[in-house]
Amino acid sequence: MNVAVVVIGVFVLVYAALLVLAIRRPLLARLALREAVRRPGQSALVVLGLMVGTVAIFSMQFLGDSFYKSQTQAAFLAWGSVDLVAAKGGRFFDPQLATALAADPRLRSSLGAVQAGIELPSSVVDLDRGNVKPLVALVGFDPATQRRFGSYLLADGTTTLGQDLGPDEVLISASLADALEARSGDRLRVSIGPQQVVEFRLAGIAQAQGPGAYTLRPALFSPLANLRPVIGDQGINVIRIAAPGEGQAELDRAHDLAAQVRVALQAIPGGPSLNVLEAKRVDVDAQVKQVDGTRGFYTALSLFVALAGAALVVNLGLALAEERRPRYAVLRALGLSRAGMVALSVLEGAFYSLAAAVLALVPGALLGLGLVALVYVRVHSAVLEERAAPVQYAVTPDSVAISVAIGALIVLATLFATSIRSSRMQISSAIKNLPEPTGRRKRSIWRTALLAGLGLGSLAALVVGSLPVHLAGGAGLVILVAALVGGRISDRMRATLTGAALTLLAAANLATIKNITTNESGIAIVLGVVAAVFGLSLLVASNLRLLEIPMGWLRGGARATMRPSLAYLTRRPLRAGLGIGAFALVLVLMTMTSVLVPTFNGQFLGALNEYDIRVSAPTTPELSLPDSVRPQIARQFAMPTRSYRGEVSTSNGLTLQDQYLPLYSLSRAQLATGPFQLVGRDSRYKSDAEVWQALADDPHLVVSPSYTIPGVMVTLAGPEGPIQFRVAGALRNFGLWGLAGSEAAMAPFTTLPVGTTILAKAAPNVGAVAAARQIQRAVFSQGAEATTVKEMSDASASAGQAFTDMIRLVMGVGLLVGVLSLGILALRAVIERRRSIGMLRALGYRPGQVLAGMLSEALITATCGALVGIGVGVPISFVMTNGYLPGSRLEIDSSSLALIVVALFLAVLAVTTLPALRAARLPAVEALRLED
Amino acid sequence: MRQSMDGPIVQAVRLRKVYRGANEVEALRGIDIEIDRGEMIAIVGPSGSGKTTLLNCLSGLDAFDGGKVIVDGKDLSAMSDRARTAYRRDHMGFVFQAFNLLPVLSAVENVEIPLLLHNVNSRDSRRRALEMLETLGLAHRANHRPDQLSGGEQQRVAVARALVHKPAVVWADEPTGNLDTEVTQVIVELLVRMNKDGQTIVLVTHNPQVAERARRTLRMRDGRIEIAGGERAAAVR
Repeated sequence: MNVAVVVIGVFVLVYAALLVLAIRRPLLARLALREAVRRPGQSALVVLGLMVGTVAIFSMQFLGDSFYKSQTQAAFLAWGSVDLVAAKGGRFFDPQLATALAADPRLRSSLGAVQAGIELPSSVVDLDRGNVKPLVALVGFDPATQRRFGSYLLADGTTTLGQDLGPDEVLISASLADALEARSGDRLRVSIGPQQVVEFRLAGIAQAQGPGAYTLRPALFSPLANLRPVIGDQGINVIRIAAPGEGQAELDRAHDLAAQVRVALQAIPGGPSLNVLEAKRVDVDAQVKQVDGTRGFYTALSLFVALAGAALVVNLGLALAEERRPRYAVLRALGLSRAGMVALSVLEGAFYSLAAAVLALVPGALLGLGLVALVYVRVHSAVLEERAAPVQYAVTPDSVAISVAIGALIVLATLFATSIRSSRMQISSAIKNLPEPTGRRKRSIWRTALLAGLGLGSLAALVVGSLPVHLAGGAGLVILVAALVGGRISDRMRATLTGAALTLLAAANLATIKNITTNESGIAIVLGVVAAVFGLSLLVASNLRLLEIPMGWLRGGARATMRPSLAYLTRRPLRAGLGIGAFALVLVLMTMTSVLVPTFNGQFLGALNEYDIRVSAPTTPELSLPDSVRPQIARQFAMPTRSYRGEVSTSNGLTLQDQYLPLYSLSRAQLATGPFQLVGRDSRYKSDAEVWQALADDPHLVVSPSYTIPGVMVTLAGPEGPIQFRVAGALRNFGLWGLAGSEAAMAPFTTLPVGTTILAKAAPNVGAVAAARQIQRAVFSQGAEATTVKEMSDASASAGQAFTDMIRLVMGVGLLVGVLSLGILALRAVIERRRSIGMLRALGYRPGQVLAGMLSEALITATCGALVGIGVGVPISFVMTNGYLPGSRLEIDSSSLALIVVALFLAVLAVTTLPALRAARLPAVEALRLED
Repeated sequence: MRQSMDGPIVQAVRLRKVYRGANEVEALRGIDIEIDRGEMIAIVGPSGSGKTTLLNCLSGLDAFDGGKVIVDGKDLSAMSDRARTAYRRDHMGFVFQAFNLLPVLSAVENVEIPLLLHNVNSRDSRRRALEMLETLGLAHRANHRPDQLSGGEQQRVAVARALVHKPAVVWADEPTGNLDTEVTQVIVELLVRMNKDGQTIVLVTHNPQVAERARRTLRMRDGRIEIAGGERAAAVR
């Protein structure tokens, strides 16, 4: 069953039950409503605090919906009316096959249109502007059948089916026009191979809609006849087939049509050799799968924030309960049962949680808009040779419903739990607002049953489970033992041992992770982080007492100021530990972003010492740099390169449709020299030399800077079926984006046009940028493009940075929750410690000392949270870096980390100062007054 | 810390206190009072008569609207809140009905608080706090937290805290209000013993048995002092 349906169902059931409760016990409903509206300002603050979870969830749903719409829309746009593609692995075949297929009477009723076509990678030079664009999709179409596939809408507002184009005229896509800065009338030199170069005149720029959006990449559209000088009589290499209909109906009909086309081709001479692909449906499905995968990640991030927000809700709930304690006690004295009191709190909570969940949709949508703009646009504009899909902002009613349901349920469940705790009161004390007398809690059968269940479940997990289950089982046992030894050893010792055990358990489990890329290890890392963070937080909180030693060296009022604050932290290790842990959890992710990004970027930037210029000529084999640029170059390395375009999938779950990927062929002689630096290698190889030797011997091995996880399998669609490679090592140089392997490894792709990639190192005292520009001027007429490796690396890093920024932004919301929690804690302290504050003031504490005490309490919590977060974040980053790039040196962006920590302290001061001032200004006599 | 001067240690002249709200209530209506050094005085009266308000005003916990309060030669009405705070710290001790111990500090740490405020070093403050607890028969409970102590023990810790820095006056507001008869007796004996050692004690109580142990009793009604036993002259000099 769909999770969304379950969540919404639970939400409806819970609120229906509350409605029934309100109808059956109108007094409770009336009291709850009166409490909710009694202090509008206070209620507004509470609702504001409760909104955080839904804001995070809804913004992420917004992001997911926008990604979904953008990517599926991009797939529809990229294929236009084309649903099926019949091809022979890139080889040419007789155009009569298309004609025969169109005339097949069995297909007449289900066929939308058939078109013979050509699709080839090419390089285009704008001779008038002096600009070049390699990797341009050359799209040949048949004007006679174009009507069914739509007209090209040109930038000047006219439309064409191509019939009116002259024999030397072509159209280009808007993105290619941008890249070339081309204008109508320009002379374009198009090359698809060494002898296959032809000049065209640009007749018009096609807008990115209808057939003009085909491929959504830089493309050149030409009638088939105009390509004759460059293709010759080879025929065509693709048949485009359209099914009738729109959207999902069109995909469904195309699915049926595909089977019929396959049958029909069997009966046509030459037809059986064609492979029919449901191009649009496969693309749409791949996009949906990709978005679903990332949506899971985004939802997890938002739940992370929502759970951190639960800490805020707990404090808000307890603060409310504290404030209402005397009034509730009177109701209890008048005969309201404990269950009735819980019901009263939950009914009031239901008003707040529903209001908060609904109101949160507005800031959630705004945050979502910001995230889409921040992430989608930047990621998709930065990824190399990615198709230019326009961004779509979208949100579905499902997302609205699920966000409201989850947000309201989390808040309600948390308020329910806090109301159970706060309903435990000694009525006589509570009526007078006296402190709750402590007494040993009676053994409850429920607690015994819970502990027994925890013990059995944990043991079972340890015996039969995988790594994450082991970890959970271990943590369960630690908690069980901690509960059982309660009262037998001191609380401090108990908390210390529990914290230490959880930390060691997490560290021991994380150390056993061999392959970091599996889902199992991913879950284990998340669990390990949570266990380590809360373990360390508990350990730190219970031993903060050690700070009392240096505190003894303080003179004057400072010692007296610090004594109660420190005591409140150290003597309540669980509460302090939770506060520290909530901070630390968010800071772990912040730390990881400050370590992983510079470490990964640093690895690739280090390669600039090797080669810093990349010259790419996808259609010019054996390109060599002219003598005029030789003085600018210290060394160079040339490789035959084929431009693969199609599906790419990896064994770690990544599937991408319609990807460009350069495939570099390295000769045995080149491989023998160990040509490039590696940043990681498969564990089966002991040295880089072994990797290169293995590459020479095994045609199923490749190295790559794009797929950096050694051991991962990458599958491409070869002309004769899928071709699978294992990544033997990760290349340091980003100039080699794509896959590099031996000539034997790349042999299945010989049907693809061959070009050249040259990596070069600028001569000493010659800047890479200047050298690249000079090379560009020298080789552009051959359809080659020269760029610096740093530009490529920066573009790739920018995508990573966008992703990192998103994590930071979402974690920033989490951090805000943590900071607000401290503010609420301070507010709660003012209510809860009112009498203690009054007593301290009576004894002679100055207002400044009360203020300083409360601020230092919050700052100590934040400092411990930061230390624990960084303390866990750095080793976890090491584990992850070592998994992805074994042996790489850890780099820390300490300035951004410092900035985060400073911002954190300022925010903590900002939110704590107000309640602390309120406490400081509390007149002693007011604070001490009994409510009698 | 206790100052040695002759004459009354606390003197109030035409002391007035008004609570302003929806209905203005005059809690103290021109009280005149003198309390001698080393005296133990009980303030009694029905609820709402102004006992606690008087104690709060005399001790510097609360500001007042008219008249004068002079404690140990210092005029509280002329002092800022900051100065009053410092004065309380140096010259006064407090015992409250609800004990008001800090729940997160042990007994000895609670007792230490006034000494820390007086900048006494760690070793001396711990020694003096332990000595005070020992005097009150609580040395064996020094490291227990308030929630591990009985009500009587908590109040004894509160008394120790009030006395540890040798204040000029100890103010006790219903110190036995939350205690049973037996424990009340213990606390009262303790206060009497301290008084015999020269400690000035002013206490507010509802309990006639407690009031009886004071050297002098002031009965209040409607913000005014009634004469104890009809001898106004004996009560107000």
